[in-house]
Order: sequence, then C-alpha cells, then structure tokens
Amino acid sequence: MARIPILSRIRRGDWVDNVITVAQLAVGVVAIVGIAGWLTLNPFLLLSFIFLQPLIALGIALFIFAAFFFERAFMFEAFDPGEIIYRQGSPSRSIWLIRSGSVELVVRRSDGKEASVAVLGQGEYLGFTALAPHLTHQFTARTQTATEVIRIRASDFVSIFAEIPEVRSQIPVLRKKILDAVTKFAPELRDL
Amino acid sequence: MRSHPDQYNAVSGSLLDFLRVGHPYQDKWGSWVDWGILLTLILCLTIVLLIVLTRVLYRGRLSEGRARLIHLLSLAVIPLVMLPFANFTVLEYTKQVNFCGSCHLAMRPYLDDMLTPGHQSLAALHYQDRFAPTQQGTECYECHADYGVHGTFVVKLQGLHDSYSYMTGNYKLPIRLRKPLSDDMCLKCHVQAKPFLSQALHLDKTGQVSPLILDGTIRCEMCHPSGHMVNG
Repeated sequence: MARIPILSRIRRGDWVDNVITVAQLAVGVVAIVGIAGWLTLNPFLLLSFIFLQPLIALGIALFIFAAFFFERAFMFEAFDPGEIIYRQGSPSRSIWLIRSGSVELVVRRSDGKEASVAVLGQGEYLGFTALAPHLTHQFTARTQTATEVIRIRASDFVSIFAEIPEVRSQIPVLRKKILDAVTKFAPELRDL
Repeated sequence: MRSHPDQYNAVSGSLLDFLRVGHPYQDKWGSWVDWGILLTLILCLTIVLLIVLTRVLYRGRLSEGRARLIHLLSLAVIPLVMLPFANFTVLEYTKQVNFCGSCHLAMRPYLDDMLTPGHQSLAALHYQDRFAPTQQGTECYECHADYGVHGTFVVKLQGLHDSYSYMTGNYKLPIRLRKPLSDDMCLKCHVQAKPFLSQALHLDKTGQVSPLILDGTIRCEMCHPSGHMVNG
C-alpha cells in the first residue's frame, strides 16, 4: 500500500471515526425528523422528512467510503520527516511497528517544555499504552526521517505478542529504554 | 366510508389517533399507508437507537470490531430498506385532504366549504362526489398538483414553504393562491371524460374538444368560477 502515496497518506490517523460520526449525524437527523414528524403529524416535519432524504444518501456514501478504510489488523502508514504519528494525551488504540525510518518520543513536562524520551528505529514498536484500556498516549511520537510504520490493532497485537517470541522479547528492552529516559527527563511521569 | 367531518377531525390530531383509527378513507386500519407509517417509525427508531448504542459503547473506536457491524445496519442496510417505504408513505400521506387541513387556522374555511353538504363550489362537488381520479380523499392534491413527478415535487416543495410559514405565523388570512390555477389541472382529468364531452360548449364543429379550450383562449374559470366558497 505504501507504493501508492495518496492511499498511504489517507490511511493514517483517526479520521475514519470522524467520517462515521458525520454519516451518523446525516442519517440520524433524518431519522429523528421522521420520528418527530410521525409522532406529531406536523406537516413541516413530514415534508422536511422527504426533502432531507438526500442526507441518507450522503450518510450511506460516507459509510461506504469509510468502510474501505476501517481499521484492519494491520495497516501500512507513511510519514514525512517531522510529522506526528500520535500526540501525548490522545486516545491510545494501536501499536506501531517501525518498518523504516526513525521516530522520536517526546514528552511535554509539567513546566510546558518538551523532552526527548527515546528515539526508536526499524523493527521497534510504539504505543504500548494501547494495551491498557482507557489509557491515553503518554508521549508524542514524531518522525525524524521519512518513516514507514505498520499500525497494529491493540487487540490483535496481544495475539501476536503471545505467539511470536521475537516480539515478546522486545517489550522489556523497550520498556527499560523508555523508563530510563522518563526518569532522566520527566521524573514526574515516572509513576504513570 | 368515513366522509363525515367529525370522523375527519378524529384522524387529524396525533399519531395515536391515526394508529387507532387508521387511514381516514378506509373502512378499517391496515392500508398501505398505515403499515408504511408504522414501519417507517420503527425503522427510524431502530436507526437512532443503534447510533446512540455505538456512541456509548464504542466511543473513540467507531471503526473497530462489532461497531462496524452496527454501522452496517444503522448507516446502510436499514436506511436503504427505509428509503422506499418512507418516501412512499410520506408522499401518500401528504396527498390526503386531512394533511392539507393540518394548518387548521389557514385551511379551515376551505375544508369547511368542501365538507359541508349542499355546498356547490368545485371543491365541495369534487370532494363529496368522490372525483379524485386515483384515490378518494386526495382531492386537494389532485386539483392543485401538476402532472407527473415534477408536479408532485413542486407541490411538496410549496407545501414545505407553506407549512413553515404557518408554523412561524408568517402568513395573512385569508390565504391566497400564488397564481391562478392552470386549466391543465382541470383538463388532465376532464378532457376525455364523458360528462365533459357531452357538453356542446366544450366541443368544436367536428365534435372534438375545442382548440380554444386546449390553448387557453377560453378558460375553465370563465364558466366555473367558484373553486371554493370562502368568505373574505
């Protein structure tokens, strides 16, 4: 998929959720007008129900479009240098495996200044907070060079972790690397 | 047959009345429109419930797991099933005289004229003699809507505007037609009807419908002026 630059750029981030939200809004508005119209037999609402029908077509079209990009077990993403893969504090739902390039993990400290926590390269993983439910990202992941990653759904990563020893063996190494950096640069986050 | 004004009023109030009494011009509950309303309502409720369900249970992960199956239902399958039912139902329901009478204050004099036995206005004669060509009880629509899909669309769009004006109180009594009713509205039904053809005044020397009527030189309202007998 990385061979098609446009698709690579589309396949990143959580915009699919936003498209689904717009689709739900479009279809939901028509449904609510329909319910209100039939419950009250209000002529304006009933006629509006007819003329709002194109919103249903819009909702269906957006859903079909989003469905092509629904989060898969694996998804390839490509980033230019300096782009953000995820931000500190954003919902943590995926784990990324770096195929090529390098990614810097940055933490914003309580005094507002940023500190570099770690630099990860090919074959290393990002975003392990996704394994804990309802936890947000503790760092911002920013690419240093042109980077290709594989985005892995957190629930699928558990299976991979259990079945592939090479993956499992990386976790303690990465954990130590990050904890050391946090202790050095942002000790107030040490207990997170 | 429910032609009495009191029975007409009974179905113009709320959905509960409608579901209890049913379609105003059928003998009992169970017409296509009755079922269409019920089905549309159920499908709309299902869509809203499923959307709320995903917003609550799958907040922040709308494109994952079972949320996708619920999206498939609420954003594709059910709306696609609902579209034909909903459109058919609303279009049929909004053809009914009782729908036109929903704007009570503005339309009441016209309905009273139409429903009062013995009134001789064209509206009263058409309604009380059941002249609506396609379905009884749609006399307002049949005389005021132009031919075809375009006519239906235009008249519904005007209805939307009128109902908005009524809802916001932006209208003056007595209400007036935007423009005189076209003769085509009359001729679309009457031009080939036996009673029409039996009147010599409607025909030329060869026994065909007079071209003066067809081209609008002689207008229907010249001889049949009283569409509605309304004071004011």
